[in-house]
Amino acid sequence: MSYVMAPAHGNDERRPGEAPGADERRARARRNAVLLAVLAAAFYVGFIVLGAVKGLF
Amino acid sequence: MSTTAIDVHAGHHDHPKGVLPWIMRWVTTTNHKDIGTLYLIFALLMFFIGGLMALVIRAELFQPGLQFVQPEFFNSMTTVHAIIMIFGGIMPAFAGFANWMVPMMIGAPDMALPRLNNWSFWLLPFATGLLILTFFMPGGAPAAGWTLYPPLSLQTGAALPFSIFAIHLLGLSSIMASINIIVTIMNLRAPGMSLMKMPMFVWTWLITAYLMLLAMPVLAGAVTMLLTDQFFGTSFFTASGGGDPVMYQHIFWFFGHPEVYIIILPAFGIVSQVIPAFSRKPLFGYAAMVYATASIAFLSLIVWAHHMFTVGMPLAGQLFFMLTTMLIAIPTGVKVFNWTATMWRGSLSFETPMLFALAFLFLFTIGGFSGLMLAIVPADFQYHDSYFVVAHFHYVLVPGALFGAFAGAYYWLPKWTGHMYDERLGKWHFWLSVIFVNLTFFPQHFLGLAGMPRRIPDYAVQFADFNMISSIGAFGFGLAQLVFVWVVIKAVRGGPKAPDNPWEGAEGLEWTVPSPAPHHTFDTPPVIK
Repeated sequence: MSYVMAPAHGNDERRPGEAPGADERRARARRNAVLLAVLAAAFYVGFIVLGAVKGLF
Repeated sequence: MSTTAIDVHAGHHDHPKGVLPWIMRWVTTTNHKDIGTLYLIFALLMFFIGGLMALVIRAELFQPGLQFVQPEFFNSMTTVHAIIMIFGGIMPAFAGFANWMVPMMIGAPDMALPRLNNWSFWLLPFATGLLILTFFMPGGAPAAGWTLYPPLSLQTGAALPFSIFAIHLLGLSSIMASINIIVTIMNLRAPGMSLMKMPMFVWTWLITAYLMLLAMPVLAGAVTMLLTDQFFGTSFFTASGGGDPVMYQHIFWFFGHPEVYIIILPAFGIVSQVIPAFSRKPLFGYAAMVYATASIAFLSLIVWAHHMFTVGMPLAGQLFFMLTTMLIAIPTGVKVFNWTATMWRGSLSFETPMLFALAFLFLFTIGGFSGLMLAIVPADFQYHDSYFVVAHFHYVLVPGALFGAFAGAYYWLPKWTGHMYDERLGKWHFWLSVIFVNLTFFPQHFLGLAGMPRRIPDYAVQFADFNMISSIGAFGFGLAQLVFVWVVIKAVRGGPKAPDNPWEGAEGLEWTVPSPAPHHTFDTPPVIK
C-alpha cells in the first residue's frame, strides 16, 4: 500500500466529483448508525417474538 | 512526506491541573486514543480479577476433596470468571485496540460517533461492577455457568435480575461499539483507501463488528426471556408452563458461537499485521485472507447446535451441524497457510510481538484441531461437558485470543507510549507465558478424555496428578502476567525513545505519525495511492 501524508486538497474543501467532505461523511455515518441500531433492535425483538410464537404452538 | 497536518493539536488536552479536572478529562473524553487507553486499562484490570477467580478454581482443584471453597461458591467462580473474562476482559481489550488503531489505520481523525464511543466504554465498569457485587447478595453470585441455562439459572437467588441487567449493559456497550466501528470504517476512510486496501486488522474488526451487531441482541433477547420467566409469569423456557428449556439453548448458542469468532477474529487481524512486519514481506494472499475471514463469520452463524449434540436432535440436524462446523476448518486453514506462507523465505526476526504471533499460530491451531474432534457427533458424546472441552476452548481463548492481544500490545506499545518496551522483559513474559499456558491446559485434554467432568470442585483420585500439574501451571501463568504489567509501566514511564516506525518491516498509516501518537491525528485526511 503506498500513501502520502499531504493534505487531500486544502483544508478539506470539497471539489466537484471528489469524495464528500467531512461534515457530509459524518452525517452519513450518523444515518448509517441509526439503521444499524434498528437492525439490532429488530434482532432483539425478533428473537423474543420467535420465543413467544414457538410457545403458542 | 509532510506531517504538518497531523500534529498541530499534539498534547492539547493532556495535562489538566488538579485531580477533579484530571478525572473529568477521562470521564468526558471523546478522543479515540483516550477511550482506547481506557478500554485497555479496564481490560487488564478485568483479566486480573477474572484471573484471580481462575486461581481460586485451580487452588480448589489442586487436590481431590474440598480444600478452600464450598461447591456453590466454586460454581459462582466458574460462572463469573467466564463472564468477566469474555465481556470484561477480551472483548474490551480488542475494543481498545480498535479504538486506538482503526481510525489511525484508515486515516480518520477519530471514531465517527465520539460521544457514543465514550458511553460505550463507561457502561462497562458499571456493568462488571454490578456483576461482581452479586457475590454479596443473598444466594450469592450466579452459579449456573456462563450459559445461564434454565431451569438451573432460575434457581439463582437475588443476583439473577442484577446479573441479567449487567449482561444487558454489557451487550448494549458492545452493540454501540460495533455500530461505531462499522460506520467509522465505512464512512471515514481516507480518500483512496478502498476496502481492499484496508489493513487486515481493520477488515477483521469490520467483520467482527457485524457479528457483534447480529449476535449481541440475541443474547439480550434470551436473558430478557429468562427475566420474564422468573418475574413476570411467562413460560418461554419453563416446561411446566408449556415452555421449552431447549429453545433457550438454541437461542443462547445462536449468540454463543458467533461470540467465539467475535473474540478470535480481531486476534487474527493483529497476527496478520505482526507476521508480515517481522517477516519483512507483504501478507501472503491478502484477498484470500479477507474472504476467509468473511467465510468464517458467515459459517459461525449456522453452526450453533454443535454445542448441543447431546441434547438430542434429528440425524439430519446432527449431520448439518457437524459438517458445517467442519467446513470452518477450510477458511481457517487458508489463514494458517497464508500466515505460514508470509513467513516463507522472509527475513524473519523474533521480537516479542512476533514470538507471541508464532505461539498463537501453533497453539491456536491445537485449539482448532480439538474443535474439529468435538464437531464429530459420536465423539462429542464422549467429550461433551468434560475437561476436554475446557482444554479446547482455553487453547482458543488464551494462547489464541489473549496471545494475539499480547502480540498487538507489544507491537503498538511504542506508538502508544512513545517509548520502546524492555525487550528482555518482553521475552521473559513470552517464555514464561508459553510454558505455563501449556502446563495449565494441555493436561486438561487427558483429564477430559479420561472422563473428568467440567464444573466440579471435587474429583476422583485418578485425576489428581494432571490436576496438580494444571494448577501449578495456572499459578505460574498468573504470576507471569505481572511481568507484562511491569513492561507496560516501564514503557509508560520512560525508556528509549521510539521512532515513528520502530519496526523495519511494518507498514501502514499508523507508522507515519510520531510516537507517541499525537492527541489528534489526520485532521486533514491523507491521500492513499
